[in-house]
Amino acid sequence: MSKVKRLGCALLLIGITAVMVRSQDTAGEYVKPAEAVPTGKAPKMQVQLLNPGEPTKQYAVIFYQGDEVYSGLQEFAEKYHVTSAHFTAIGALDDATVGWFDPQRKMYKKIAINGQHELIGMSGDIALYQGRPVVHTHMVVGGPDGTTRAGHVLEAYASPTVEAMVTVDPATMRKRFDPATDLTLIDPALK
Amino acid sequence: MRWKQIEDEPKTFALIFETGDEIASLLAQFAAGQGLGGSSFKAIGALSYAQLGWFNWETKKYDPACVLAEQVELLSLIGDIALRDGEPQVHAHVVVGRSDGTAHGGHLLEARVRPTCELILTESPIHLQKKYDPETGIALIQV
Repeated sequence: MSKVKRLGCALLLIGITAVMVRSQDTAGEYVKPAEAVPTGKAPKMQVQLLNPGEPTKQYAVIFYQGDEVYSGLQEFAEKYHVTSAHFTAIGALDDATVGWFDPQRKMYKKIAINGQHELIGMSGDIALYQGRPVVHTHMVVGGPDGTTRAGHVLEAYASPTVEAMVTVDPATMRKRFDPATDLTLIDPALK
Repeated sequence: MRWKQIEDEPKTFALIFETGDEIASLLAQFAAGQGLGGSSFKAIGALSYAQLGWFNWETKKYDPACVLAEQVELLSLIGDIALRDGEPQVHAHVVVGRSDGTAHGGHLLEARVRPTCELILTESPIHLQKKYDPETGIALIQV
C-alpha cells in the first residue's frame, strides 16, 4: 500500500471515529420524542379507584421509593385502558431527567436533576396514538434552597413517594403525528 | 376565606381566600369541617408571604427551604388530602414567582394571601389512608 493510500485510510478512520463519537454525544444529550418508554420500572405502584360506578373515573396512583413515575403512569394508562385523562401529582424525587424541546433538532435536550428534590407540581394528560395511550407530562421540582427547575418529564424516581390524582374521561382523545416537529399532538377532531 | 360547592358529582368546591388569609391552616380547618379524606386540589393567586419546605431524607422532616416576605405570584398550588388515624392531612406544594419572574417552590408550610387565592377542590366518596411506612420511616398513602 502506498504512503498516500495509508494516509487516506488513516484519515478515513479518524473521520469515522469522530462521527461516531459525536453521534454518541448527541444520543446522550438529546432524545427523540417517539422513543419508547421502558416498562416495569415502577414495581411498587398502587392504584385505587376513588368513585366506583361513575362514568368519569377518579384514581389515586401512588408511587413508592425507587419507582420511576413516567413509566408507571404509562403502565397505568395501558392496564386501565385509558383513552382520555388528565392528572396532577406532588411528592418528592431522588434523581430525574427532564427535557427541553429543541425545535431545530426536533428532539428533547436532556436536563439531569440529581439528588433529592421536591416534586412541586406535575401536570399532564393522556391521549391515544395509534390506539395506544401516551402520557404527556411536565413538572417543576425544587431543591433544598427553594430554587426550581422544570421541563418535560423523561424520568422521575420517587423518594419516598409521589401521589398522582388522575381523572379518566369516558371520551377518547387522539393524537396525530406532526411532521413539522416530529411530535404527536392531540387533535380533538380525530375520530 | 369563603367557599361554595359548585358540583355534586364529582363533589367539587371553590375556596376563595382573601388578603391576610393563611392557606395551609384554613385548608386544614376546611378539610376537618367537611370531613374530607380523598381530595385533590389546585389553586392560583398571589401572596404577601410564603414559607416553603424541602424534605430532608436524613432527618425525615421538612427543612425550611426559603422564606419570601414579599409580594409573589402564586403560580401553582397542587395538593391532596388523605386520612391519618381518621384525621385529614393536607399535603400541598407551591411554585411562586418573584417580581423578576424567577420561580421558587417547595412543600407548603405557610402562605399568606394578598389579594386573592382561588382554589378548586374535588372530593371522592372513597377516602385515602396514610400509614406508617417502615422502609422510609414516614406516613405514606397506602391503597
